[in-house]
Amino acid sequence: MNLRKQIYLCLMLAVALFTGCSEDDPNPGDSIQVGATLTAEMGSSLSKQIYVDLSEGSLYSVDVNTWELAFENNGSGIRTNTAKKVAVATPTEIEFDKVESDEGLVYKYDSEDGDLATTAFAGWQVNQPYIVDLGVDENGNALGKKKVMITASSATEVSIQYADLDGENAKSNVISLDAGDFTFFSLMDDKKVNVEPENWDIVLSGVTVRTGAPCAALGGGAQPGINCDIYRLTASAITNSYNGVEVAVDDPFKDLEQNDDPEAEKNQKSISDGNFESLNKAAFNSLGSTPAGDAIGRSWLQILQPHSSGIYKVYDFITYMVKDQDGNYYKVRFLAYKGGNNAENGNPTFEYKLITE
Amino acid sequence: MFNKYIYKGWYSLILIIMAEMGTTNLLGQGMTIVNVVSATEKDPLIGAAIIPVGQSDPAGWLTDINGTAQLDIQKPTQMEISYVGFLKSTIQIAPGETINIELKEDELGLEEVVVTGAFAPTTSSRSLYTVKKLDAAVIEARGAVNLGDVLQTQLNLKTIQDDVLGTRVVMQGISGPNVKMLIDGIPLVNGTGGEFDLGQINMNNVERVEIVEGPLSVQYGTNALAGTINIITKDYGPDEFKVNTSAYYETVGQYNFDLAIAKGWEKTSLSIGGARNQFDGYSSTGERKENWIPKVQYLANAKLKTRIKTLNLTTAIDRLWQNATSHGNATSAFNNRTNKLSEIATDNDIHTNRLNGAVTLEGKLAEKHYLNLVNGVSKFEQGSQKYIQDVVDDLRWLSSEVEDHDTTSFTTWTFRGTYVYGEEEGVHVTAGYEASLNSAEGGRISADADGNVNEYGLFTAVEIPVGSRLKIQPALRYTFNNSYDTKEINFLDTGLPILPSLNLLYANEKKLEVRLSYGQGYRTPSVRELYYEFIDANHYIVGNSELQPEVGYNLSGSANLRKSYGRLTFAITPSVFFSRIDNKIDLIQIIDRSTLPKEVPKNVPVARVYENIPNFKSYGFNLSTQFAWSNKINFSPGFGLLARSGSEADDNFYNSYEVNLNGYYFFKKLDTRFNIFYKYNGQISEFARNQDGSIGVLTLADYHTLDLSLSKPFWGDRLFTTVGAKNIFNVTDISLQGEGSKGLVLQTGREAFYPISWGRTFFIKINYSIK
Repeated sequence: MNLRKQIYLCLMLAVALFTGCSEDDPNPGDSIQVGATLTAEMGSSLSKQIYVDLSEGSLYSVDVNTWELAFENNGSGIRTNTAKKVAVATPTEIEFDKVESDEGLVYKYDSEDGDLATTAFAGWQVNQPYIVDLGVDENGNALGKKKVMITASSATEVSIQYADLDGENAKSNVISLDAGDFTFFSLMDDKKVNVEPENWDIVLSGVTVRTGAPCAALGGGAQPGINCDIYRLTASAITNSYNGVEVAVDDPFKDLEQNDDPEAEKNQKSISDGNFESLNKAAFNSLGSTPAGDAIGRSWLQILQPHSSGIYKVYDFITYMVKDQDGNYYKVRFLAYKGGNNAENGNPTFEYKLITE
Repeated sequence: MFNKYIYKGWYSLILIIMAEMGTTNLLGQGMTIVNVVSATEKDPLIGAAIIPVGQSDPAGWLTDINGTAQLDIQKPTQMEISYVGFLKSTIQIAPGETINIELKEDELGLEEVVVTGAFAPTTSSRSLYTVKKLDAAVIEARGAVNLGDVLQTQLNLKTIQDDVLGTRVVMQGISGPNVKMLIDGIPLVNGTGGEFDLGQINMNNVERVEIVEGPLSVQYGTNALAGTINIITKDYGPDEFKVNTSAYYETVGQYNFDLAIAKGWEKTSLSIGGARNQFDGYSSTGERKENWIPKVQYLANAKLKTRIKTLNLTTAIDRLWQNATSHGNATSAFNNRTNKLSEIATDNDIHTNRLNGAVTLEGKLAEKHYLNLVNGVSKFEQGSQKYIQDVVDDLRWLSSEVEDHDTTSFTTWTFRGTYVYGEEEGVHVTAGYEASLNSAEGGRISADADGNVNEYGLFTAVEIPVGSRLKIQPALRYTFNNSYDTKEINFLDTGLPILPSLNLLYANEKKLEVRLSYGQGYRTPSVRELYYEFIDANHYIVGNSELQPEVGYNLSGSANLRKSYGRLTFAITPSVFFSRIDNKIDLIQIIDRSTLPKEVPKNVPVARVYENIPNFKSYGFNLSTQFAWSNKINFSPGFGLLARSGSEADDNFYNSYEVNLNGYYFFKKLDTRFNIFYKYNGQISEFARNQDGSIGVLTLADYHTLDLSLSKPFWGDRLFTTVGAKNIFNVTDISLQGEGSKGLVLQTGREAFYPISWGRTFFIKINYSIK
C-alpha cells in the first residue's frame, strides 16, 4: 500500500467513527385526551395555598407563611394555619405572665376536615393562656413559639394578648372581624392579613399530618418528632365546607388497599380504569355526598417507595363530583402531582368539567 | 515484534543518538568483531549498543543487521553491551578478537527507565522506590480506553464509579484526594468531586503509567500521601515520521477514534494528536437513569521537544472537552407547555473542560550535573445545566431555577526545579524547590473563599552508597503554606514544618533487592474542602474553613528476589506497609439538620460537611510473583491483604483480601499474544462513627473480574489488532450491606448496591501506523 492509500484508509476509519450515532429514543406513551385543566402551583415545599373557583375556572395564590390564626367572623371558631404546622398547647399555668415553657405539653393540630369543632383551639376560653407554635417557613426552619391569650371576644372584634415565651415582644391588639368567613391574623407581623378570596370551592394546601406512632403509645421510650408524633406537610385538596360545598367520590378501587408499594394493585390502575366520562348528576346522589372539608383531601395522592425518590402515584381513576356553592355540579379528577415550569412535585394538575345532565 | 510496543522513549532516543556517533567510528584498523545474539532464541540483535565503561563521552558502536559490530579499539576495554528489552552485560574485549555475546531477555523489566519518585531518571532495579509500571503492551492488551481501565486489576488499587463524578481511585484503602496524580511529573488538578476522574485520562497518548505506593511528599508536596500515579506521555525521537491512528469499539456502546502525527528533525520533534471518544451510557436496571452516564470526549494534544546542547526543552499541552448527560427517570407529570399529561424527567448536561500545559527543561548540564525544571498548569472547569425533558413529546427546556445551573473551575500552577549533583553510582545530592498555586472559582465555591491556597517547598536529598550493595537516601522538605500553619507537621517535635523521608536499597547482584522506606506525608485541605458550596433542592455539601492539614506516616518494606532456571525466570516480591494519617479529612453526614443555615430546606436528602477525623490507620501485606518463560509466557499472580482502622472505628480493624493474575502467552508461530487479566476483590468495609457513638459499617460484597484478549500485528507491524472480552463474569452492580453512612462508596446518595461494571462486553481495537 502506498502512503496515499494508507492515509485514505485512516480517514475512512475516522469518518466511520465520528458518525457513530448517539441514540435518544423516548418511549412513546399513550396520550390521553383531557379537557379543561388547572395546575395549582403550590411549589415543591408547599409554600403556597391555591384557592380554586370552579365556575370561574380561576386560581388564587397566597403565601402560606403569612398568618397563624383565623377567627370565624360569625362565630367563635379559631382555625390555625396547618399548612405551616401551626400548633397549639394548653399550659397548666392560668396566668399569662407565669407561662414560660412548653415542656411536657402536647401540641394539637387542626383536624384535616376543617371542622371548627375539632381545631387545635377548639373549646378555647377567654383569659386562658395558650402556647402557639408558629410552625415552619418554606425551608423547614422553626419560627418559634408565642404565648397567646384572648382577653375579650364579641361578634365584631377579638382582643388578643401575646408574647414570646420569655415575655419579650409583648403585644396586644384588638382585631376587628371582617365580612367574609374568617379574619386572618399574623402573630409574627402583629396585623390582619387578607388570605381567602371571596368565592372559592376548593383550596389546594399543605396540611400537617402525623406519621409514625402516637407518642402516648410508646410510653417511656417516646421521643416526640423522632420515633413518634412526626409531623409532615402533605398536599391536600380542602373543600369549602363553610359555604355548602359537597363532594361525592367515585373510586372504582376503594376496596383495594392503599399503600406505598409501587407494585400494589391499586398503584397499577390507570386513568382509563376510571368512570370520569360516564358519571352524571344522578350518580352524585347515588354515590352519596358529604360536606366534610377533607372529602377530597389527600385521597388522590400516594407517595411510592423509596420515598427519597419523590415519586408519587396520582389516583387519576378517582372522580370527585363537586357541588359548588352556587349549586353547579362538577366532575374533578387529579392528573398529576408533578408539573409547572420545572416539572416539580407540589404542582397538582386536575381536570374539571361541568355536569349538565 | 512485541518489543516495539514495550520499549520506547528513553531507550530509542539514546539508541538513535548513539547510532549517529557510532557510524563515525566504524572506520579504523585492527578490527575487533562482536556478535550479539539473544540468549534463548539465538537471534541476532540488531542495533545493540556497545559502549566503553567509565567513559564520559558516551560514544560507542551499534550492531548491524547480522547482530555484528566492528570495533576499532587499541587496547583491551571494558564494554557494556545493551539492547532494549534485554539485560545489560559487561565484558572485557581485546583488540582484534572476535567475540560472541549472548544477552538475556529482561522479562522482568529491570532495565526499564522509571522517573517517578527518583530525582533523576533511573531504572526499575536501581530505583529506591518500588515503581509499578503499566506499559503500552498492557494498555493495548487490556483494550484500555482510560486510566480507570488500566488500573482495574492491580493489587492495592480499587476503582470506584459514581454516575456524576466518574471513576475514582482508592489506593492502599485511602481514597482519591490522597493520591497524587501527575502527567509527566506535573500535578493534575482534581475535579469537582474533590477526586480525580480517571475516565478523563485517555490512554491514546500514554506511553506508560508509573505507580508508587506510599508517600512521596518530599518530592511532590501535598496530596502524595497514599501514593502517586504518574502518567508518562508518548515521546518521539529525531528524524522520525509517524502517523498513528486507532479505532476502538466495545459492545456496551463505546466508539473511539484517535489520530497522532509525529515528525522529528535533527534536534526537534513535534507531535500532535487528537481523539474522539463516545460512550452511550449504561443502566444496569434498564431505567432511563443510568449509573454509567453517556458522554462524548474530544481530546487534543501537542508536544514540541527541542534539544539544546545536552538538555531537552519540552513544551506540551493537552486538552479535554467532555459533554455528558445525567438522565433522570421520567415520571408522570403535567406538561404545561403542551397542556398534556406526559412523562417528564430532569436531565443534567455536564460540560467538562481540562487544560494541562507544561514547559520542562531536563537533562545533564554536564557530567555529574542533572537539572530538571518543571513549570505546569492544570485547569479543570465544569458546568452543569439542568433541563426538563418531556420524553413522550421529546420536548426539552432549561430549568428556570438559577441554582440548577453553575460553572466551577479549579486551577493549579506548579513550578518545580530539581538539581542533582554527583556520580550516578556514588554519593549524589539533590536540591530543589516547588511552588504550587491553587485557586477555584464559580458557582459551587463559597463567596467567602479568600484567594488562593498556595504552597511553597524546598527539598533536599542525599543518596549515599554504603559498600557496593547498599544505598541510603535521607530527604527533607521544608514547606510553607499561605493559608495554614504548616508547623502542625511538627518534625521531631521541633515545631518545624519539615517532612522527612528515609529510603534504603540493598541490591545484590541483580538477584535480590530489598527496599525499606519511611516517609511522612501531608495534605493541606483543598480549595474545595475549604470553600465548596453545593446547595440545591437535594444537596447541602459544604466546605469547612476550619480544617487542619492531614499528616501521614508510612513505613514500608519490600523485597524482590529473582531466580532463573534455564529459560524460566521468576521473581517473588513480598511487601508490607503500615500507615497512619492524623486529621484525615472526610465528608461527614450532618444528622442534626436543625444546625443547617436558615435558607437550607431542613428535609434536604443529602447534608454533608468536611471534617477532620483524629486518625486513620491502614496496613497491608502483598505478595506478588512473576513467572517468565523466555518471552513466551509471562504470568504474575499476586495476593493482597488490606486492613483499615482508626479513631472512627474504635480501632477495630476491617480486612479486605485481593487476588490477581495478569499474564500472557505468546504464540510465536502465529505472532499472537493471548492476555489474561483477573482479579478477585474481597469484600471491603467502610466505617464511620454515628452521631450516637456507635460504629456504622457498610460493606461492599466481593466480586471477580476477568478480561481475556488476543493481540496480533499484521502487515509488517503496520496494523495491530486486539480483540477481547471484558468482564467475563458479567459483574454489574455489587450489593452494599450495613448501616454506614459514608465513605468509599457514597458521595451523593444511598443505594443498596454499587455499580462496578457494565457487564460482559466484547471489544476490538485496531491500531494502524505509518512510519
